[in-house]
Amino acid sequence: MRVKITLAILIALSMMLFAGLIDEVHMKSHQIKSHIEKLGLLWEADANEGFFEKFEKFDVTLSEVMEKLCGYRDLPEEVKNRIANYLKNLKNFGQRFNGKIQPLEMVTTDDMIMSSFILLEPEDIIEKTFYRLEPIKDQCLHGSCWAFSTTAMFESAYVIQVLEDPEGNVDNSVDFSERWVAFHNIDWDIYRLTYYETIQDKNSLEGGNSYFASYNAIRYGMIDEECAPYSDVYITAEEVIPLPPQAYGAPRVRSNKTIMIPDAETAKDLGYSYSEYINMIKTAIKEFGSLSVAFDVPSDFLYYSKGIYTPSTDKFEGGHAVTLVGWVDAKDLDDVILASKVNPDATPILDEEISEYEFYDPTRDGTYTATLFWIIKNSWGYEWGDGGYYVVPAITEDAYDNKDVSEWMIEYYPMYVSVFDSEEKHENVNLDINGDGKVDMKDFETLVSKVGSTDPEDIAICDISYPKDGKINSDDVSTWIYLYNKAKEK
Amino acid sequence: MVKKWFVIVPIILLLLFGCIHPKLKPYYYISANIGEGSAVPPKTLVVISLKDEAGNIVESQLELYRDGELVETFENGTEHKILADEEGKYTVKLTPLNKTDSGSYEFNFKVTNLEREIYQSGGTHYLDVIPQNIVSQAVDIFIRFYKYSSEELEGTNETIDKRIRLKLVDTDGDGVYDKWEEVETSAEQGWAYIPYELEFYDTTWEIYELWYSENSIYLVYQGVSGMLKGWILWSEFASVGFDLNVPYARYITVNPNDYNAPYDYGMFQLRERYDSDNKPEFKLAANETTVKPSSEVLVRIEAPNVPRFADLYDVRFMQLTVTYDEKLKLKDIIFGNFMKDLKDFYAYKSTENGTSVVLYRGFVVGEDETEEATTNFATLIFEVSEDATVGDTLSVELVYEGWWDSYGSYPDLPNPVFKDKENANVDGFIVDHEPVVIEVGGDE
Repeated sequence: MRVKITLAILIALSMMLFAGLIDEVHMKSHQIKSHIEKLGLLWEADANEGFFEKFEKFDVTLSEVMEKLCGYRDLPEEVKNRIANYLKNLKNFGQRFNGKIQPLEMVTTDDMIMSSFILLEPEDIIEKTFYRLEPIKDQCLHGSCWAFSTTAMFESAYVIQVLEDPEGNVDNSVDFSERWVAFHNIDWDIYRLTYYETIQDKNSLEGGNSYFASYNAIRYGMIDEECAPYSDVYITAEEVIPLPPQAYGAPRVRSNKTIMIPDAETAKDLGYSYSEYINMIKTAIKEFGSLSVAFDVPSDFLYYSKGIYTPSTDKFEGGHAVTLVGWVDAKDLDDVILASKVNPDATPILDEEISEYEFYDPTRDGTYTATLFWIIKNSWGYEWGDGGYYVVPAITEDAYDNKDVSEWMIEYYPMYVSVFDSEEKHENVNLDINGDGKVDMKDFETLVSKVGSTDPEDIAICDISYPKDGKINSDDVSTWIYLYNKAKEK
Repeated sequence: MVKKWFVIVPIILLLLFGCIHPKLKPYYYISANIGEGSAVPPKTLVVISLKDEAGNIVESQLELYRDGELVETFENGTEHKILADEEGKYTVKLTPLNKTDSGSYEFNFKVTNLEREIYQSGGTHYLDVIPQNIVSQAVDIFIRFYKYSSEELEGTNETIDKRIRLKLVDTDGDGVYDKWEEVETSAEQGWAYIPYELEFYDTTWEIYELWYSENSIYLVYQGVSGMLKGWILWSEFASVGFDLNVPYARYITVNPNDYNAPYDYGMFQLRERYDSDNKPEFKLAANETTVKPSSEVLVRIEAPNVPRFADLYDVRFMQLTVTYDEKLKLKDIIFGNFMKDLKDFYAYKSTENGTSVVLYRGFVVGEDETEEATTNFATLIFEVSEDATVGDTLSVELVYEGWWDSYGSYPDLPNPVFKDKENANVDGFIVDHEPVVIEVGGDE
């Protein structure tokens, strides 16, 4: 009997040692299926064979694939604290401004980056379910998820805000270059050595963060996909890919600033209620476009194929950036079909209607009941997941209030969406701030004198930035100059 | 009477429209290898010509303006080639030689270093990983540096590249090199010594890379065994560094006396949109270093190279915050003409407790000020409190919020903000946050 068991173990071990990538994922997905069943989770695991097949040519192991695909690099704790404090100043504007003076020789790009982020005033969003199924891209075997997430967000924001099509980029009407974004990754070694102060470019597909990429969308802009196609990258596993000749001098589209939605814990610290926080996310998606979001990847995530994903394991593999394209109410989960573009027979997220979903989260060893769910666009091609998408529960009110946010939830990290300012966004703005019938420097002076005012009358006149934030600050002052010049140039 | 007008009006109209009918005047357009209003990197060859209605190139005279100044004239050419090698805003005026047309045609473009840098990796810091063939020897390392420059060969139109030998010198003997010396070819260049291994904090550290910046060279070691294994340690090697946008080389060997010993020769360059000597920088300067109680002191925000840099990147809005000692009372701020060819708007807002002020400047379309533009961003006029006592030091500084926690108090977001004509953030400016310190002195 002992001989038989030893033999069986040896066979299993040799299978694992000599199994190809596909065999390995089949074995893994089988194990995960039984975990899901045991926990009673509402998602299906699959080998996602079509997705994994394309990596076979690179002769890589499953863990190498995981490592490559999870290329989101978290910001250092010190920088996260800095951002949280910056947002605190933005949120509590009009009250006392606090901060430590840090004499440095040079203004680094880091504070320039921060000055490009704004908070969004949440609106009361009534739609129970709202989503845009924008095109699924494929990052291949690279840690460039952050570039895909930022680009998808930028495309969506551009279509909604500039082309004024509320449907977003569902028809792939704009296609910007992820390779261009990855070309402007940052040099993480320099960032670390300079205590997270100096940011300089480094051409590298592997490992990035939308915090920097969304800022680059302002200072460098984006170029069309055809000017730096990712298809050239597909054939290689190299990290450093030079830009093709047509990228040089290609027209660039720039955004003006970026909305940052703080992570749930920071949002709570800033005093946002649960409904304000959720509405802030919904407002951003609906009014500005899909959001660049990130999460830490549980080891079973690769095998998701349908349903509501929650981890069946407490093991994590790395970080991943994706795109949040909408939300679904629990009762609508049996109505929303995600994979119809590639599968005419595709079925809804769930087969039967539910009013809420109670699930056990092994990463927190807790049970949660969700009624709201996020639809998320991945960048692993149409053959992964539910037509390239997946669905996760939104943070619950209790979890938000208790700051009980697991790393696999998208609320664990900040979310970003680019803002495209233009004259048209300020159609009802009156630059005659002092009401003397003339628009001149006196109006500029009056506006500056009102900075920080909490008087609703002042705010009604002076909150002229796009988007309005219910406050009077430097964004309004710079916007006044912008609009004044635009009017004079006519 | 009415009949008469029926005859006169058509005749007038015929004469009027006949005179200005486009068919009677040759129609030309500009053809170029770059688009109107585009930005290109330095050393771009711009090929430009004037064409007629049929698309035929016609002879023209070209005038080239950079930042409003005439820099070159090309006579009677058909296809003009301009090597736009310097940063600036360029206007090309093409005048057809056809005498029937006295008008000229304009074409605008700008040359910026951003257009060069956007296609490059790197910046003001460079990490020089020591090659494996050197570190694998596990012995101490010797290094020396070279600087490259181009110069025109006298009496010719040729340019030659020159390699200058550099020597690191430790003038005060504190173990950190603090001066560069250029060494003649005939003189001994010498070597700087880098220990392969260090023992600190119960850890063995091995050299891994060199870290170069404008003002320093650091040796970067990694912990290979002991308490801090896997950590990084860096030690200052030199308090001098490398000029921006200048190519340098370094030669590393494990044995300077043996030409067969493993060695490596590598080149590097620190990169930015500006050179070391023309940085767009904001810094403070006071008119007095010692003041008496109740007296007045002026603190200027000097901004050398800022207006040109700002003009190049179409900056239209600047915001800076100044914080100052509570024994200084801000009386006023004087703003002069800062940006050429644009009208300056300005205002400021200070805190109620009077220790910080935010300065806002907008640059708008309109008649420029009659006074000449200067690089003085603003002058703050302070009165020294009568409570100040001899020996007090009063500091004024440009604010940078590193951590945003709980030390200062400001009327607006305190960090610098620069926005362009599209209301988008612009970076690249340098703000010197070193405070100006004014001492309170008594009667002599």
